[in-house]
Amino acid sequence: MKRLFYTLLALHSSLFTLPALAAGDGDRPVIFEELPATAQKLIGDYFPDVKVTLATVDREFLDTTWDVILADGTRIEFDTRGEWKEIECRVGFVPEGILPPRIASFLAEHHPGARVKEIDRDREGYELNLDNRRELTFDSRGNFRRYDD
Amino acid sequence: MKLIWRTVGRLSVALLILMAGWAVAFYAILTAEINDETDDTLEDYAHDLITRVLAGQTLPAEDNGTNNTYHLVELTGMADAASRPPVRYSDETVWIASKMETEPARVLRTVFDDATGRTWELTVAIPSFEKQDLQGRILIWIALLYALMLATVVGVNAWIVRRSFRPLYALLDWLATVRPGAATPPLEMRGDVTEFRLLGEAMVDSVRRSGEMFDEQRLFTGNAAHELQTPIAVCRSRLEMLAGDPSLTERQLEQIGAVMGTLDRLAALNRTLLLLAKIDNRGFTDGAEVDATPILRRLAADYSEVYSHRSLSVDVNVRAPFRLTMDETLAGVLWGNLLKNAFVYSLDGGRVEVMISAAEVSVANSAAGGPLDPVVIFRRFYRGGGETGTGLGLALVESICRLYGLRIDYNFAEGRHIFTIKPPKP
Repeated sequence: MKRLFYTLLALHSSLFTLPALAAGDGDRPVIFEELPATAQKLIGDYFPDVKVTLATVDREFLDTTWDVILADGTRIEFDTRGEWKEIECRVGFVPEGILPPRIASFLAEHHPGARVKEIDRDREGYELNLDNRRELTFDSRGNFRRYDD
Repeated sequence: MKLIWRTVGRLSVALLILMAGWAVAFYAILTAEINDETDDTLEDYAHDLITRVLAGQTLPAEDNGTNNTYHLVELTGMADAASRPPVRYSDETVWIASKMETEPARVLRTVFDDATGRTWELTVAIPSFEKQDLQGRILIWIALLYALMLATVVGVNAWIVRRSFRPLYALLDWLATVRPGAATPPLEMRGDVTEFRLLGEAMVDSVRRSGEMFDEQRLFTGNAAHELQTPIAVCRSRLEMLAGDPSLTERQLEQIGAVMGTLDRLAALNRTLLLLAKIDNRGFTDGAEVDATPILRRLAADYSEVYSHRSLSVDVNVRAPFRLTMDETLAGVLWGNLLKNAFVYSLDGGRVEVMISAAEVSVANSAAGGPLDPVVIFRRFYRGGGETGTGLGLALVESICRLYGLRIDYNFAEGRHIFTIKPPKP
């Protein structure tokens, strides 16, 4: 009985370490080589000549986000494993090789000549902003859902 | 302390501690999350501005009407440019032009190089009063919810414990009604808790067995006394025949007389035992209203004659008649034994006093010694010194009192033993 009580107490006191976990250590600048390999490969493949201006990591409980700003004003966000979550291009355009094939073919069919300025990806699907100011939503398998504008 | 209060009390103390820890941790987590969100917002704001700078786009006005402010400085050529950390958070007081006042704020400084190699430092700030408001509210709500939850949990626990132990209380109530020698009332325990059911069965079994043993013993006493009657009578008649033998000497006749005296005592003892057994077996059921006064007066006269050699003074004071509904024979036995007891154990030359009122009858006698032990005086075969009695007189009195629900008390006051009999409580 006593033992059970102390076990409960110990379990409870571990609660006090949770806030520290939840808060994480905030933003921390990292060098390019610290990024996950997948993220490094994406930048090397699609933005080979652009310098990395700033890279930060935000480690939170169960969730880490990598944020990379390139010298041309492009911002890329990566998830824990280094997969891209968001690509936002101020000057250039999102490289077409990054787009899922079904989305690329939908764009080629319905918006020939339009370029992608911004793409977001989450569990629900994709959100695209084009340079013709259209906003498109696709599901996670790349099927067109709707226009958001 | 009742089981339920002990249980609820312990639960409350444990919950008070554990839930307080939980509430504190929850508040700390929420606060940390809010701080983190603030930092994330700052970061988004900073990164948005930085990408604009890098892309060569125009920046919004530094004081744009929102509470957020930013400040961009070129560090190129400055000595400490390289040593400044690229990302730095701090809590500061900043001047917010749109509000014309200073406010505590969370500040993020980011140092970055643009494509042409120039170094910049961007400072962005978000006032933290909203954050503090939010944290204050959360603290109040957590405290309120903690109190409410604690009260609810303790209340629910009290209710559950009370309900769960209902069969136990039913068992306790039932045990209080069980009397040896009386019929055992049926035990009603609702619920299907195995432990309580087994406990109930064990108790019923135990009560039944002890009741059987009690009955058996009572029956045995009665039978033994009954069976002894005949041999005693046979002994007595043979002795009488022997005494009739003319060839006996004076000395032998004396011996026979002593044996017959002892036999008479044995017979009296046996009769009393039989009477006791009959009382305990509820042998006397019919009753009539019996007034104690004439019986006590007659008995007092009889005994003062029997014990005249001890020069006792006897008083019977009657204030009001004392009436009881009981068997007439038993009334005689009751008052007779009580009075005889007073005469036998009174001091020589002492005083026996009987007080009769409507509420009680008390019999007092001058004591030869100190007070008696009230626990043992009503036991069978207890004798206070003298060898004359059977040791069953007070036991009989007590048995009769128990049969009719009368209350009997023993007191010792002013050198007198006082026995008081009161009618049953209405």
